Amino acid sequence: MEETRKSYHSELDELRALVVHLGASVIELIPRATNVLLSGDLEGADYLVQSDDEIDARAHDIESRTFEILALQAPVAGELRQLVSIIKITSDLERSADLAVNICKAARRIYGKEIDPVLRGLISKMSEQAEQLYQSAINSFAENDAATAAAIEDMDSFLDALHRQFVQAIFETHARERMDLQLAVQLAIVARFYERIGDHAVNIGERVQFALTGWKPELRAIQRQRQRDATGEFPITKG
Amino acid sequence: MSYLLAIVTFLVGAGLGVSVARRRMATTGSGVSQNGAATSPDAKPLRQPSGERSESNSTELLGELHGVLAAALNSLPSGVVIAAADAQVLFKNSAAEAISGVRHVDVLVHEAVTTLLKNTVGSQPQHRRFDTAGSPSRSFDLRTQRLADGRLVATIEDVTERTRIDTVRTDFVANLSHELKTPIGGIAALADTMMGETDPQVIERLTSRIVEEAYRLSRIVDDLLDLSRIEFGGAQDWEPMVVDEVVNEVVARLQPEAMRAGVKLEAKLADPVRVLGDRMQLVSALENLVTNAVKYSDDGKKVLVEVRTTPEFVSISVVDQGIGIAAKDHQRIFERFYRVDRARSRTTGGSGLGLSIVRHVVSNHGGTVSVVSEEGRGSTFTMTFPRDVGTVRNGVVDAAVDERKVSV
Repeated sequence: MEETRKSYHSELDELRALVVHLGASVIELIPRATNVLLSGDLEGADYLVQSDDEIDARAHDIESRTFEILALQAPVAGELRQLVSIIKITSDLERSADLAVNICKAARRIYGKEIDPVLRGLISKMSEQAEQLYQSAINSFAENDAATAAAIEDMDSFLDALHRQFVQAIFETHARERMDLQLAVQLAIVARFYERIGDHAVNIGERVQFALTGWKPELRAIQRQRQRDATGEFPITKG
Repeated sequence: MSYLLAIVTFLVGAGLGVSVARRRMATTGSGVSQNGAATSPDAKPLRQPSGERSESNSTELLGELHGVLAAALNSLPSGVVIAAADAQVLFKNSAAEAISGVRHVDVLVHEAVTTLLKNTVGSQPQHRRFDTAGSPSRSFDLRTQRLADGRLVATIEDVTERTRIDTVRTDFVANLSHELKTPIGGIAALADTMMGETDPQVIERLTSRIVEEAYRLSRIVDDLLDLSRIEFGGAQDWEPMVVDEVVNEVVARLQPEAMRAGVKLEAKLADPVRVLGDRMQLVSALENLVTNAVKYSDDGKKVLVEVRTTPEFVSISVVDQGIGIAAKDHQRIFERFYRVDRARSRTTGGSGLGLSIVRHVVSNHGGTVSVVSEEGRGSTFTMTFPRDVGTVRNGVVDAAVDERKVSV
């Protein structure tokens, strides 16, 4: 029995290492996609688009292993929360890699068009910020650090502000007739990709908190709803 | 095979020899075999056993040898990984445990090492360069080799700095050739056209273009000579000078150029303080910064030269609202002939040596130069120098007086 538990714990450790590994790949993807976008590197874009298959395969492998452990070991309490979190974190990682790939695809679509220096500067900053958020998220998972995990949401507000600033700059640049509409639309979509990558990092932070403490953001909403139900405030009326 | 891998192979071979000896001892009860270092014929035990030893003494010695070898591997600045024949990692030295100090970089490097170990079949050593793109951007040299007993050894070297220097060197040669070849090519083509031309007006126009290109070439050579003089210059011509005077001189000299470009050039001075140095060099450095700021600013923008002081230092900042510089270029703009945008440099002109001259001048004077810049938002270049001792009253510099040494 002890031997079985030992193998179970080593499987769990291995699984965590795989998640950190996948996270490292996603962190690396963010600046690579940005380089592709800003330098108009079509070859690099193709390479990164193709590399997404490997990320998908690794995410699938992690999920399968997690399901296997859940089915065979029937974990409880903290370990159960951890395994459930791993499934969700893997999904966030896989989705973030897709978003980085989408940036590369956008780079293909705007190939040959010159991006205004102000917008280039803001793209670089959004990319750096998204990468930093992801680094913090993966570190908090690897080190079981609930405090860092909780701070990621606040860190994300800077990326959100950059996103708003970027959209404003697109309007201004387009108004000065320094950018055509197609480029403006593509860049607005690209900015959204960075913003979404940041949101996935926040999600990972929340999953880490759930695994370690049992807390999840939905609990706040549930509590608010219960208060409303009890006091009759803010009744939801239909029709 | 790299020197590092050779040394590690030797050390590991010696270590494995000890392991083999230990196994033999366990089965036969004999002492340490002289041929224990089976995987490396040159490897010898660090201390030769003298005569018959008891098993406990030998075990103690072997333990000591293992400790010494592990300590030797741990003292290496490069990462060493020893793996079983199936690439299962058996040992990592301290440097391999923490390669870059950044988790995701370490994870990616270890993944690359594991893949390389798995690909190491036969006795053919493997070699791979591995680069990461994020912050920090790093380069690693990975090498693996199969040992005689089938086990594998890998070395990880951080070659980030070496790669940077290599890039600087190769780019320098390419850029220098380009900068010199462009005006020379222009002169040759213009002269060639002129040879078959009879119209005096055309000949005059071509001649003036040849003169322009020749001047351009001359400016590049002058800047190169200046740079060389600054690089090897000593402190023999140094004199104390008031920083404000240097700033005023440069601003006055470049005001007409700024007006032509529609750029408002202003100076904001502090209390007059002085620095010790070569006046010509300091003027040249500041002139280069202000010229760049004006050159890369749009019509209607402002360039500010600001002097700030602390009790020990004086800093001169050149702040512009120009096109700015991408973060990835910040490290490289002080290199000779480095161009952020080669296409644009054709229209802005210049030798491509300005910031390199600034860096050398600042370094000669024991100072620092830094850049804060964002694309589209402008740049701020700041030179900081140690202040010369002494005070300035009514614009006149007095010699420093240390009151403690004044005797009455």
